[in-house]
Amino acid sequence: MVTRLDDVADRARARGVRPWIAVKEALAGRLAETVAACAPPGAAVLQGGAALHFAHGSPRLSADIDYAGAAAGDALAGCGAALADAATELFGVPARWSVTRNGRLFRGKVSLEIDAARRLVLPVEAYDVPARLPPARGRFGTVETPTEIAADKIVATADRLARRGALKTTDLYDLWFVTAHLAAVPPSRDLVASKAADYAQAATGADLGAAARAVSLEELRAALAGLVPVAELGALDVRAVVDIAARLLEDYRDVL
Amino acid sequence: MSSDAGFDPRGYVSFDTALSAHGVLDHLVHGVRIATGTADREAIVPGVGLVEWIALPDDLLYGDAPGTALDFPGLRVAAPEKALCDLLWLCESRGFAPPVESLRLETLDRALLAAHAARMGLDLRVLDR
Repeated sequence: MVTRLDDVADRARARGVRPWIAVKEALAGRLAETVAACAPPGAAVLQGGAALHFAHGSPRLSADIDYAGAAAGDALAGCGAALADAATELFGVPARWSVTRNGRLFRGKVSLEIDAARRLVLPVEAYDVPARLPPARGRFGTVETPTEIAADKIVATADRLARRGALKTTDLYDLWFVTAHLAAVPPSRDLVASKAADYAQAATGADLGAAARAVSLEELRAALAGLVPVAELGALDVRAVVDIAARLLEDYRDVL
Repeated sequence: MSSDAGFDPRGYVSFDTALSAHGVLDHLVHGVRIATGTADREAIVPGVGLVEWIALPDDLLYGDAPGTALDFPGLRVAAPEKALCDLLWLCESRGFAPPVESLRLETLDRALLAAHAARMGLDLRVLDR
């Protein structure tokens, strides 16, 4: 018998996407809709790669869903049972909801019990910080604007570079997408500074643009393989991705 | 962080690779799996072979120490308890079955294992199946 899980995985292979990522995509979409229906309006604001994919049309798939909001964790906690029920309904297998908290980081997990030995977990996370710009509203609830998503990515890139000495290559793609495809207004310095304060991030003065330009084009393409469908990846100018992301990042050196 | 061979891993050796090196996993492991904050990807690295980078959330990247002269000189390697938790995290992230039958858990520090699992939000009952 072909299950819903098998069907999603088979279609993923046909478009050059990792099957487990495609299963998570289908699940994430359903869970985002569930949060939109369950959480108090505006309490949990969809952000990051999932927001770009579901609400703003990015072809890059995301393996988790992230929310912001001053009390976003509590809002998600109140939706736990509904999220597990939605997962069970989507794939026809048992699903569980569990939660851990670490300060302002809320880490929920929806676990699909695929069979006796295998489970697939989709993280549903929130950081209890406010959304700074008026969010968009739609099928997936309240969603950060591309400009605010870019600000989050710029701050996260600075943080990761300071602590790990490396940046997340998929963030370069996202910064390119909001700039080149969505023509988003670049975040103001005040917005980026506010975000850095929200995440308790000290200024380092690191040259983010140089760090982005140091990423090899082969590394970037390899990181996007399986996350971006083959057709889109084949047409992608990865040098332009790096150049555009680097130009955006280097504008905030005096802030971060 | 660079290895003696000039290979910049941008993370630490973990998962089944580290477990095999620590003698906790009976499988023969052919590739090098590295926990990283950057992104999932694979590459053939001269002098190393197949390397797979696996992205973990930033706050879950910890529990590593310098490798030995025998295994992974110049690289950092997860302690066995952390490598096992990283592997369990990977399995549930991708829907794979943990290789429970091939694990040799007798030498592990169970309290440390439980502490890592709690920090990473993992359910260790999967090891009892």
